[in-house]
Amino acid sequence: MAERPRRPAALNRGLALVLALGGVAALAPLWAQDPLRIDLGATLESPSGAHWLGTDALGRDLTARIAHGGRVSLSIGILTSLFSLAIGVPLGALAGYRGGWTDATVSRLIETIACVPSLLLAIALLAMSPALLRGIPDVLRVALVLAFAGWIPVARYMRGEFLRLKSAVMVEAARAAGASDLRIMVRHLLPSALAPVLVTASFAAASAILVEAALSFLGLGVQPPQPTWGGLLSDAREQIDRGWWLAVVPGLALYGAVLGFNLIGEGIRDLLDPRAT
Amino acid sequence: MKLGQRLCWILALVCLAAFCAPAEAPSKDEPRVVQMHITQDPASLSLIGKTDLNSEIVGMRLTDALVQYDDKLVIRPLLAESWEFSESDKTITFKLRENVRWHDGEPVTSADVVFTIDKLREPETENLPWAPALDKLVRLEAPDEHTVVATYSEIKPDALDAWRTPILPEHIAGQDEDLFNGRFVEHPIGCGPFKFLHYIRGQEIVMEANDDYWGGRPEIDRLELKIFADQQTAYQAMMTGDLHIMVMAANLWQQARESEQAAAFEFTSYKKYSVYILGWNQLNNPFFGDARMRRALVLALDRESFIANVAGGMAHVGATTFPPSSDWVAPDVEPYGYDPDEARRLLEEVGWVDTDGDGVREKNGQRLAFTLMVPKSSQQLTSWIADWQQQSWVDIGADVTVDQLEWQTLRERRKERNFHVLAQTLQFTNPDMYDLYHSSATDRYNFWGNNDPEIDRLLDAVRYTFDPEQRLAAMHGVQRWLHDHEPVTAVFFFDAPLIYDKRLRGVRPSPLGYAASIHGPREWRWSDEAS
Amino acid sequence: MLRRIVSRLATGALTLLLVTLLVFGLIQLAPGDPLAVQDDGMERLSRADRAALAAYYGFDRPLSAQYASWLGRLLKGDLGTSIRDRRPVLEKIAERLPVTLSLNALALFLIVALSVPIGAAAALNPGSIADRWSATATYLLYAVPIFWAALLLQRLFAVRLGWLPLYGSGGVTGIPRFANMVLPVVCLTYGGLAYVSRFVRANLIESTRFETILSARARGLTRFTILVRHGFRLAAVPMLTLAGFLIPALFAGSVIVETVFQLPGLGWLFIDAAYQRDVPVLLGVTLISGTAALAGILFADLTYALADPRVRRG
Repeated sequence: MAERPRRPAALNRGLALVLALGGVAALAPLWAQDPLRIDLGATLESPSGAHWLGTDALGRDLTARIAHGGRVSLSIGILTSLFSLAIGVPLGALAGYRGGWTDATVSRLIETIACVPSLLLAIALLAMSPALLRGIPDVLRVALVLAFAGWIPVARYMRGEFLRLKSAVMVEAARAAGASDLRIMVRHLLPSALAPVLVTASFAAASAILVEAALSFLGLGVQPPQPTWGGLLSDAREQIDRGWWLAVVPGLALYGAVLGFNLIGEGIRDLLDPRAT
Repeated sequence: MKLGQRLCWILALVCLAAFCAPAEAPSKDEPRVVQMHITQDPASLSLIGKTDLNSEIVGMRLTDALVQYDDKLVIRPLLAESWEFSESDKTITFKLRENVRWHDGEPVTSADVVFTIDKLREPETENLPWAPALDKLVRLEAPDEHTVVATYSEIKPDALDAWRTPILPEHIAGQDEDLFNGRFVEHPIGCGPFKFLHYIRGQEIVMEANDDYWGGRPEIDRLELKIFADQQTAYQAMMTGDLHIMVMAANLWQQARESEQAAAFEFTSYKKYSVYILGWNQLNNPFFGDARMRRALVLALDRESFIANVAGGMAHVGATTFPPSSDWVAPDVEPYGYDPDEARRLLEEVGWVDTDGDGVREKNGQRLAFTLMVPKSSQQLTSWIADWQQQSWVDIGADVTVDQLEWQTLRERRKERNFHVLAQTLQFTNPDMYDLYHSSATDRYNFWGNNDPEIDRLLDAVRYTFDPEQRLAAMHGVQRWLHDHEPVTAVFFFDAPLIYDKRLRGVRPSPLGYAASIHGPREWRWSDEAS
Repeated sequence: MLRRIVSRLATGALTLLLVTLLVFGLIQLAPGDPLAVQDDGMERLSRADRAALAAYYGFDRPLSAQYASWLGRLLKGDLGTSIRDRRPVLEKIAERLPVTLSLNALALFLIVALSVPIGAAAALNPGSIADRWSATATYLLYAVPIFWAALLLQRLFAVRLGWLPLYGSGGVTGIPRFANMVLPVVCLTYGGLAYVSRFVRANLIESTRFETILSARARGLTRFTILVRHGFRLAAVPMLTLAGFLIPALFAGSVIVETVFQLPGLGWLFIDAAYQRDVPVLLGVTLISGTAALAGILFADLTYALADPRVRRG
């Protein structure tokens, strides 16, 4: 652990963490019990062979709930990151490449949304439960709300990249050859900007997982009976006297996922630019 | 760097200020202080405006009403020494107690009563509990300083219920143009057993005993209402002695009972007239129009087991919305038990069969997929109930979604009849359930589309019959009808798990709560001797 | 130079206007009737009563008129009144502000006070054990969810050891007692360490590459002296800009911290408003925090522009 996390080893460690957690979570239906199955005859049990981490107040298996909670957290992380890319990449690219009014508009938009703390924005959006978000599954809804602010760093980064790249000789040449703007952006600029954008996408996933957990902890995120790490930690507040594992295991899983995505981001960054700090 | 230095100084001063903040250490010879839990800041200190449960609790300490319930839900005189209830003239004539004074020494007169009722009925006051119940009040007169005559266009046996509203001093509250933004809410003056001292938002409301209270000075010197929204925090406060009395979540109450400090507390649980219901929307959906469907879903719930294993035994199964611990209940109406096989049989009888083997029943191409709408709550028990109901219904072949909604959204949806099944809590002070089931009450509380001439007739009888025996017979009729048709399921009547400091004496809970009856803190005593 | 400042202020003002528009947009998302307030029993307010109330608040007017009058009132410092208790939102915010400010000021102070030595120690000898360990440790702290840390710290220091209060501000109005602030401030602080100490390190390394410093080194000064004499002077400006960006993050943190520790600050007010859908309060706090963050960013940008010779030239 004394190693510097910036080494490409960071990438390996991050991938190992995320893949391990993702594997456990993704395969949960195959190995874990039904996280929703209620057994009123076996409530609040201590860890045993049948229930490795015991059961909750409704007799539901906690191991299964933590594993299935990972499905929620990781899918929200990845979905948010994808949505953020889908919004941030084109907007940032356009702003950087076009400049002028386009840039001014997008930049103001970025600055505006960046001003409001993202957690507050997410809470306000969820508290208002706007009509257009109703009826969508919770996971998708939370991911959309988080992407509302999540695309900002992606767009910022893209804008910078395109601003830098558009004056490159290659672009001048393409333009002289009569290539359209769209073609230049997609064929010439995007490939070189996309790899570094993965760095921001990875950080976006980490922060989405953190914010989702905070929302669930506050009771505003994905709703029960769907288990979430934040929700399990919130439950643990009232039952912590029953055992340390109730607060520690879901917390560690959450921590591992956030750390994992951060490490992946760092790792990719170092891979692309070993000098960067 | 200059800026940095200055910043350091400011921060140092901030720290110093934080250290030197005056300490509030109660010593043994200090006055008898009782700290009581409330869950939220009251909506306002206007006592009659925007009232919620917490403003009622505050209001009852600071000022008196004309009448109030006792712990058996019998109306008792308070500011009104006596009253005359005339069915034929449709009037109530209140005789006010003489020599009652406001906390500032002014006498309490009939003009204050008229002022308060007028103020209460202004829409800006947004008084929910009492103003609508006074809608049939057509005239309010004060023939002399101590007489108030209320004339109704229609009078019902429960008409006194609304006169539990706290009375405000006209000479102070009457001078504020806006009740919510004036002298009165800054420092409410009443005629009640306790006088207002101060209010720190989010933390506490502090009152002291009123030496000149007409009913005698309370035995405790100081009453502090401590605000804790979070049960866990309130629990810790109780354990460390920062709170003396509170109603706890059942699981925490159990935990407290088993704790080392348990010997310092008194544990009781009392029955409240509040019920956790499921309301089945009979319109707008293909599911709950048939009474057999509603019964089937009730039969799928193992309520006794839930009470024993999850609710810590602190609840009772209801047969109808009439509280089982009340005098109103019909002895021959039994709650439905747990019988999943009968539930499945009923579903099939109605035509819901799983034809494609996906675990969910269908009928005419329609899946048995419905939504349970529940209010969001910080209490874990509420979400446990929702999870348990959902899973119980999934087990008999339904596809159930739980929609935990914020209270405001839920109210909107309820008003638009935009739900399948609605869960919420109701509280009763009288057996008049007209608003809940009468076909004409669709703009009030009959969200379920209940429409039947038989129940209408019975509800009318309960509402307007003065003869106690005939009225009781009508109530029993209502219950039999409700049991047969199950428009609303009374899932649980919850007990209130009360915990209080052993040294606190004279606590008398009522079905409305330990603090919401005539008794409350004004009868509490503090004794250092072991009981 | 002046033009630059003016244009930055102008875009800042435009952004502020856009922030108000964003917040106003949020109001419109609220479904139905923002007047509905929780009642514990039966719903007894008639439709006519409700219509009268809606007219009283002005929810029945067209959007543009609502926005115009809302903006006009904002300019006068009127953020509206809480739906719950009808008190002015600004008053509610003002009485909660000291708690949040003192928490955040202490956290900011601690972040800087800890990060600068950590960053400097790392910059003194890049690649050394101290550098690597501090990087790893702060990095590992950075990913710890605040509410989890709060939960475990409460458990350890308040319940198990009983050294510190579990919650609350200690029975005082305004700024909480010191003991009551220790755990909340720790929770707000640890996450910022990684970012800020890395930032300090990078800026110190960068700034010590400058010619003046090279010549100072040529004069035989130790790396430590160079760092202290020149490095900090040069790195001070970029560090200042960082403060502007820390404000939104800290504020988001105090929403969680104040809720968990029951400290009556802005964050708790916000969460309460979210649960009760007290729209004016919810949006008032959003607006205030957005404005504060914008002011921080503008302040940082302008200081940067004024102080940094490279920017001034450009």
